[in-house]
Amino acid sequence: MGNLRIRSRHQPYEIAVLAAAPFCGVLLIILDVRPMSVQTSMPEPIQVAWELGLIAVGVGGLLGVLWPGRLSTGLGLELASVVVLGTITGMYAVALVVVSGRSAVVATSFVLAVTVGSLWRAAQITIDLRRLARACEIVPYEPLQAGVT
Amino acid sequence: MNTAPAPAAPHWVQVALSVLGILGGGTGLAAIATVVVQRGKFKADAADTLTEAALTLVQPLQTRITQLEVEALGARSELGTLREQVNQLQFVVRVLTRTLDRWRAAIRAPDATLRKVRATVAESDRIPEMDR
Repeated sequence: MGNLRIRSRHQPYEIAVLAAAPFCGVLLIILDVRPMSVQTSMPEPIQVAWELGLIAVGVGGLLGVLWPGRLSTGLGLELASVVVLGTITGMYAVALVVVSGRSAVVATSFVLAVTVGSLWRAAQITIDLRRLARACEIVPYEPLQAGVT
Repeated sequence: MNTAPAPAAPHWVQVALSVLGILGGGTGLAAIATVVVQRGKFKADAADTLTEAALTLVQPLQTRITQLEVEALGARSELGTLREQVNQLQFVVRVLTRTLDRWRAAIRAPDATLRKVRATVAESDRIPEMDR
């Protein structure tokens, strides 16, 4: 298992996007507005879930990144958040395309970039979790602690 | 909502986005559930043992610790042997110093004769201490 390596969880872009998500969600609730594209292209319950999802994703993702306990739990939280973030931004991108079409090229591109990045990160975390599980099988933990004394 | 109700998008978009949302949310929940259920697989605590590349170091370090333990054991037994040798040598030095003193005294004695000196030397030959 010579070159096993768990990727760092402290990525500036990821943290910035995860921090922006709940900010958006809270602002949407406080200001009582929703993007036109979301309003027109999603049924009401999905709109509510989308809005709450923004907050949940951000809070859960940041929690996962900063999780002080087991690495696997932190990675799992982050994985879930990142998957849902990818879904939310993907939905928004589709809504943008449907409603605004060509005039929303820039917005759609950036939102889609977040989708791609999120799913990419999700794939990374999945691989890391699998490696971690394998490593925990190979390295017995108790003898390791005993060996240090 | 304070915005006027917008014209609804095509029905299939609503359905597609709903399906997408439910699928994504479900996948996210499933991810958390999987990690929680399989917690037993991940035995190690994060912060101290498994940050970043630390995992890479665990295995080589274990090997190294074993090596060092073996080496330490060897060094300790060698130290014991050497200490034993030093003790013996100290003893020999003490005996020789005493013999030398005795001979010097015999030679420097005002009434020293060759015979007396020879007798002293012959006597110290018989001192059993020297038979190591």
